[in-house]
Amino acid sequence: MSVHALTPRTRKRIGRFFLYVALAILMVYAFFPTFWLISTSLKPQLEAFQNPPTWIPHTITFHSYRILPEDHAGFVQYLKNSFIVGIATTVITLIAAAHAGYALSRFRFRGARSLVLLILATQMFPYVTILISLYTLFRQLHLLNTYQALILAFTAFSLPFSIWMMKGFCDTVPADLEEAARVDGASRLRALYDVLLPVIAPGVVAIGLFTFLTAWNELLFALTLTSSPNMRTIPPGFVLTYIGEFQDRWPDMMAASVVVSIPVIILFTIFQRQLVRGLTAGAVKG
Amino acid sequence: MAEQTTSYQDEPATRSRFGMPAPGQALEGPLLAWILLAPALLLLIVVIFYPVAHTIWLSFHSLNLSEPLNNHWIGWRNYKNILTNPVFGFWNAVRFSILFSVAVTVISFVIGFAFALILNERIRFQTLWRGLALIPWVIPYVVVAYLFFYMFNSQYGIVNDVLTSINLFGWRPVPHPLGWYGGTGTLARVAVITAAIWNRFPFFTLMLLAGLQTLPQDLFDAAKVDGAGAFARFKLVTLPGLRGIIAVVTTLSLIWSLNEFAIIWAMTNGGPGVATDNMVIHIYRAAFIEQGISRAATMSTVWLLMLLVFTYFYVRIMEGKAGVE
Amino acid sequence: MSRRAFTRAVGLGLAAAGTAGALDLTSVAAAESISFANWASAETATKANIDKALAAFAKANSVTINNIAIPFDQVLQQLTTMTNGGNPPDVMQLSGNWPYALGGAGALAPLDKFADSVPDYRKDAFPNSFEVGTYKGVLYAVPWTITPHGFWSAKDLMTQAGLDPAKPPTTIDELNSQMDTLRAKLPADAYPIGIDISKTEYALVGFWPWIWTFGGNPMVDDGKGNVTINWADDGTVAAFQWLQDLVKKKLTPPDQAIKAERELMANGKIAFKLDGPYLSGIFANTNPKLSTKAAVNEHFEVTTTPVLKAGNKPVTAADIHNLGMSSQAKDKDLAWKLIRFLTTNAEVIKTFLIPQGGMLPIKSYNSNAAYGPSYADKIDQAFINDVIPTMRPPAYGPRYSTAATFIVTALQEIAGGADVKSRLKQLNDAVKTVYSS
Repeated sequence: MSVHALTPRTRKRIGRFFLYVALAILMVYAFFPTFWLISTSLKPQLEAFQNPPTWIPHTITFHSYRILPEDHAGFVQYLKNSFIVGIATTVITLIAAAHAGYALSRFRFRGARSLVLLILATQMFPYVTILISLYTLFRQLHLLNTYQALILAFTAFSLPFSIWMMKGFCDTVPADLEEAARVDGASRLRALYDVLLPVIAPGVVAIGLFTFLTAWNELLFALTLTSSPNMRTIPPGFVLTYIGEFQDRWPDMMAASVVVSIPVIILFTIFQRQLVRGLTAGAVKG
Repeated sequence: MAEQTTSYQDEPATRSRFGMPAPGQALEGPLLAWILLAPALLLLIVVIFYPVAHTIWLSFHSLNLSEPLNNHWIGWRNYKNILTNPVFGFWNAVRFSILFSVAVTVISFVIGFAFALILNERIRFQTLWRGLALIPWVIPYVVVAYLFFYMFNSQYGIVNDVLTSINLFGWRPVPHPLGWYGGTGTLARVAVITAAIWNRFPFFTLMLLAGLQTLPQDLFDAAKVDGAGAFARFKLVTLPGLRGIIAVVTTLSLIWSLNEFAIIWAMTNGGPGVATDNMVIHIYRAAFIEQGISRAATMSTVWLLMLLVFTYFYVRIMEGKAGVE
Repeated sequence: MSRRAFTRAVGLGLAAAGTAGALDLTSVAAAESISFANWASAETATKANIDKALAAFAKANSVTINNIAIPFDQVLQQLTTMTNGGNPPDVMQLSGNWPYALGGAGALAPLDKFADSVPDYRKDAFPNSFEVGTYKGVLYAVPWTITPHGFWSAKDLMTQAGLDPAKPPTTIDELNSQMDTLRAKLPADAYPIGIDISKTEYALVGFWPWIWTFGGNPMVDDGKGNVTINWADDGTVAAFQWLQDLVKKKLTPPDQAIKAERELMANGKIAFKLDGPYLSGIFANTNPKLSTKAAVNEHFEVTTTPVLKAGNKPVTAADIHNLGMSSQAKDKDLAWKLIRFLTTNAEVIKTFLIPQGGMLPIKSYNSNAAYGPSYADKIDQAFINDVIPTMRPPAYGPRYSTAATFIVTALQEIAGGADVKSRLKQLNDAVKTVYSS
């Protein structure tokens, strides 16, 4: 019996079946590491290093979770710092990038093209090399071991991408929309705030989430620009706490990661619709 | 007056009328543009451009932190050493960086695209699946790195456990546990690439899913009427429609992967031997373990130049795409 | 015209930056403060204890202590950055080659004058514990905890393989034959010996004893900073050949770092291993069955590294943690006071040094009435009486770390099957380049 002999309905069902099989395989790939993260977080230290490994812990323990809220100077503080730095970085980046992106999209002036190129190229420099220069500079500015240091650095790191995306979003909006407002006497900035920004709001959300993640994930500079334990953000804090000289404490680290991932997942779910719309608009036309 | 100095994208550029606004008029033209750009530019200059310039300056010196007093101008000698002496491992790092980012980008693109196509179909719990598919992206990046380091451990890692337990009617493709971080390094490369893909594919899923949703449905309907099968529709409608977004996301992914740090640092530290030594790891070690600041600066500068060439093509692709539209 | 516009924009930006700077209220100058960089207070197990002890010092001297916790893997990078950024910590915990990397660069203050002012300080110390902080005759770091590798053997696995657990191997021949027995009798996922094959400088600390045991002498420092290099000498070749055979014959896991091997040993998967005295504490943290020193002593034994031929002297690397002082420290007397406090204060010793597992830097403390009982068990006694006297300093120096990268790269490649002789020749050339440039 050839495939063509099948009724369209049967064919559709077979297609559906394969679709679900494919989805299942992909989901296993996508979720297995997450499953392993959670499974490990529930194991005692000894069982985490057992061979063969246990899929479901023999001894389920919440010890790794229980120690988290008590770790005021550590975990709780890292989480707080990460949110402060992440949110401030996001807000400042969005403000700076919105204006810069608008300028690059709507104005033509000498050097504009080179500037866009320069901003693009900035994304490509291996940042590890500027660690010492930046540290020296921030010391001279008395910014070491402050939130400002992290916020300024992370903002600078996410600006190139953000400006470039923001320019893309502005480009997608026809100019007559603003012109109409300007005929009514609105100034340039009014037109930006009242007309353009509401239209590209999904894109702004997308850039915001990107920026937040950049700040959330940064390790090397976060470690270098802060020194006291109570200024550490999550990545350096975790490495500090769980990757020891003598021992790696995977269950504790995994439990802490589960806990810190939850707020970000919630954040992403809330903004998912805007994010999908925003990214498309910017990137396709960018 | 003001309208003339303004140039919207569809109008020809007017470059002659730069100037201060007449009294009573709002700020306009290039001046306003620069003011709008100022905060971002200032920050970039202070935090990035200045240190980068300093780095380039250092690349012509002999600064090694273990002998900081012996620092003087040596011209192009660092460049000559790095580019010609294999002891410094520069080209090895270039090769692995390229291999790594191409492999990560291509494979995570395929997986991400497959995900996007499936999630674009009407399936049960669509929103839930779409949300869940993004999880790999939001787990803190260092944790992803250590999680894979842990999973690929040859002794107690789950990857070997799964592989050695595969038994298809007596055929066991992996009878013994694999030493992922040892041997000749092929396995270590597979391991770091696998970890990076897992973190990257949700990005592709998200972007391509977004792209798929913008494709007009009537194109598909028309193709269907013409008798095109699912594959033909994919080839004739989906792919051309997504060309632009594919160019953008793959290029971004390439750039990010070329400067990958955390995963390799946590998993192999560039080993075994130099099998997974990419450019950032190599520069990091040169600067902070070997204290060779000038050598690290030189490698960064050369790497930047190489990536700039890449940027050039990037922009060309972008403009080519714009021309199509 | 556009230039004027640009100038204005920049001016505007600078004004904004100035405002931001003025708002920076966090950097309030304290009366006197001293900073202490360490990884001791990074690790949860010891964090609370060291914090408490530091607070006591701060109170007694009416200063504020700026405690800088750095993850172990990033210590050198952070100290380098801080030093070159003009903001080094006053006192720093160091290990391995770090006193040399920093001391050679002028970042550390010479401590000879301070150390000599303490009566019997150098005399009441373990041999070579000051040497691993001394470069070209200048003392840059004093010992804090003494943690060399001894030869650990798991009695349970030996019994399981039919070997006498009371007789761990004393020579390489015995070691090899016992390993073969273990391999034959143990399940495939348990290994006779654990060797650190990671790409870290510490892997070399773990391998030095084997190189020396096989008679290798690839890098020798004459005490004046001149290093003789021969990575292709017979002993070194033999040691690396031995390593390659271990991997080939599955006598050691092919790709593990020492941290993972400790967990494997706690799980009963490794029989022999060179490791520090703190291993008892790691076992206790990991395996509830090994939670007391008595339990660890019941299941494990420690002795010196096996020797090549009977009659040879056993050897291990002088692996210790030390304390150094920044050459830029403003109040050096205070910094020295903190160093003394950290090495001699009863609270620090009881709540931090003893639980951490290393031997105390003042030799007589290890057997006095106050602290002796903590080191009375068989394993600790073996470390104090047998292992520590065999400590030998590697040829540390400012270029050692660069060389070490090349060495562990070769070590990994040889473990992975590269031809031993030609690879070591290649390494020899590379290391010579490092030292000649």
